[in-house]
Order: sequence, then C-alpha cells, then structure tokens
Amino acid sequence: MKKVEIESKLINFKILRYNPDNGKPEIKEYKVEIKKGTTVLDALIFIKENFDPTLSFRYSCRMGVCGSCGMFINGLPALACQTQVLHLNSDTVEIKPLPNYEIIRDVVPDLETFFCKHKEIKPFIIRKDEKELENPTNEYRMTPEELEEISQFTYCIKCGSCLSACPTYATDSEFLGPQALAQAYRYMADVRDEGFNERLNVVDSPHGCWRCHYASACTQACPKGVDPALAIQLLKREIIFRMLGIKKEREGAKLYSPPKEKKIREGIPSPPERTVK
Amino acid sequence: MKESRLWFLQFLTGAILLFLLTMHMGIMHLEDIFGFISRVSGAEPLDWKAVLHRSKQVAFLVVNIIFLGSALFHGLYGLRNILIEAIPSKKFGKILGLVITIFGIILFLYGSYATIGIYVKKF
Repeated sequence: MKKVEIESKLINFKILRYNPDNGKPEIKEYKVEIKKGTTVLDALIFIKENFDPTLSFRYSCRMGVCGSCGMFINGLPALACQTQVLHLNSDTVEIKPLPNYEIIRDVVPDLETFFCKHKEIKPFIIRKDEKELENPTNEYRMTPEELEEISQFTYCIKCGSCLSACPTYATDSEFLGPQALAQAYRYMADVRDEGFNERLNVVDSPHGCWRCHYASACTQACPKGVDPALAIQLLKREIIFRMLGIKKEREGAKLYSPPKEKKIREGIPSPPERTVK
Repeated sequence: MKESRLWFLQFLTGAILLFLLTMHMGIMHLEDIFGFISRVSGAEPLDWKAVLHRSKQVAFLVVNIIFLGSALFHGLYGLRNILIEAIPSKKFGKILGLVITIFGIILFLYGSYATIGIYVKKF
C-alpha cells in the first residue's frame, strides 16, 4: 500500500458521459476536495449528490465483494470502491466505462454478453446422482488440500475487469473470455464435480481456451487475486492430459456421513439454551 | 477435429520443426562450417550431383515429407487462428477451416509428389 502523506487535495475528475438518447460520448470535468481515505466511489457519489444528479454508475456493497463498480480508472480496470483517490498519485482522475463492452450510459457497461458466457460453462456442481442434488442427505467429501487447489478461483466476483483487459477478447468477440474459462476450470477441477465432459464441448472449441495467448492482462486486472490466466493454462493441461490418456476420468467425491457418536472434548462448555423454540 | 487435438498437433509439429529446421540450417546453409553435403556426395549442396544424391536416399524422402507436413500444418493452423480471431464469425470460421484444409492437402500432395517423383525416377 502506497504511503499517502497529504490529508486532502483538490482533484480534477474527468468522467466520460454518454446518454444514448442524445449524442456522442464526451468528457465532463468536476473538481472535488478529496480527503485521505476517499475512494473513487465516494467521489462519484459526491459528484452525483452535489454537482450532477444525472451521472450514472453502478455500485452496491462499496466494500469490494459485489463486483458492481468495475470501471476504467486512469487507464486501468479497477473497482471504484477499492481505489483510494489519493493513492492514484495524480491531480487528475479519468473515469471511463470498462472497455470491451457496449455502454448503456455514462460509466455503466452492458454486461449481458459477459453473463451469457459465464452461463455457457455451467457454473454449478454437476453430479450424475440428481436425486441427491435435489434432496441432499449428506455432504460431499472434500479435503482442505483439495479445496486449496481451487480456492483462489472461487474468489471471482464477476466484476468484468478481466474481460475488459483481455487483448484477445478486444478483437475476438466470440472468445469465451478469462472469467468464463477460469470458472470452467474452477468447476472442472472441483473434486465434487462430475461435469468435465459436459463443459468440455464449450471450452474445447474454436473460440474456447485455445484462443488464450497468455497475455495475463486478466490476472493483472483482477481485483480479487483470482489469476484467470493460470486457470486457463491449467485447463489446457487438463484437457491435453485427458486427451492423451495420461489422466483418466475420475468419479466425483463420495458422500460423507458425519460420525454418529459426537465426542466432545473435555472442558468445552455446552451451548446456551435456544431462546426461540 | 476437436480443437484440443489440433492444438496438440500444433505443439508436436512445432517441436518437429524446431529439430528439422536446425538440421536443415546446419546441413544446407552452414556447409562452410560443417561440410556435411560435400563429404557425403562430393559436391556443393546445390549442385545437381548433390541434389540427386540426397533425393535418392530413403531417409531424405521420409524426413522431407515429415518436414513438409509439419510446416504446412503449423503454418496453416497458425494462419487460421489469426484469421478467426480477427474475423470472429462462426460461419467464417467453418468456411475458412474447410478452405485451409483443402489448400493444405493440395500443397502436401503436390510437395510429396515432387519428393517421391525424384526418388523413383531413373536418371
């Protein structure tokens, strides 16, 4: 984290404004007094409340977990709620919508294609025993080590930053993209999942994982440390190993029944009585 | 053919080309350093005597055909990938795949015909 010495500063915000009903995109400037700790999102809310109520942008949790406020800030994709203005070390902050998407309005991108690509890879656990999925009796066994293998790829908040940074997607709109491919790997590598072959038809296609050239811009853009580039290379390896017969199709994790007798360690107090009966 | 198989062949042909191109450079173009052709055929690499000598070797025939096939696949698959990324249309991709495959097969047959032809012809 960059050390910020100044307590407050007047910052010039250059925001791309676009109203689809009238005209071309244009840059509008707003000067805002920024205090230490103010995020870009805070500044945008301030501008909307005090200068221009027509300014449109997406936000929700304001704490970096929902992915709604993905924007292009000073030339890089970032979450507005996680970007402190003074940490940008610039008197001017340029805010544009994420590239590689159609613009709905101002800095609001159209994420429809992004979510369609995500849906294509079936982002859920697929099991052959559908009865158990619909009426679960127990949990599927997964060791901490097995969870660790896919853990980082589960942190995706679907902000769209990776797809906006991807140079392949910039030219090839059919490309599935780093988010969908990373999530495909997340499920295909999950020991509880049995849908490898079902997803294979989607990822092993002319515009699937093989169009990734390992630029790694997606990894640099990701605000949650997911590393989609790594996931895609691991996915390619997994597909090739299965194709060559080096790795066989595996059965999904078995159901795990907790022990019947509960052994409580000595000294552990009993829980308090339920207040709601 | 599944994309993963095509990609694997791209890797394989890449490895083959790395080896064969190195051999080709050493044998054909670094004659002054290695002197391979002149030792084996008693002539410079591009002299008719040397060309005829190596064209009549089975090993040369086999290596040449592998070289031809690898270079054609590697180059044409690479070209196809560049084009389908530049023009991301599923219809265009299918037509391009078909055209490139036919073009590649024709070139392979023509190149092989030349190599096999000189091998079997009596001079």
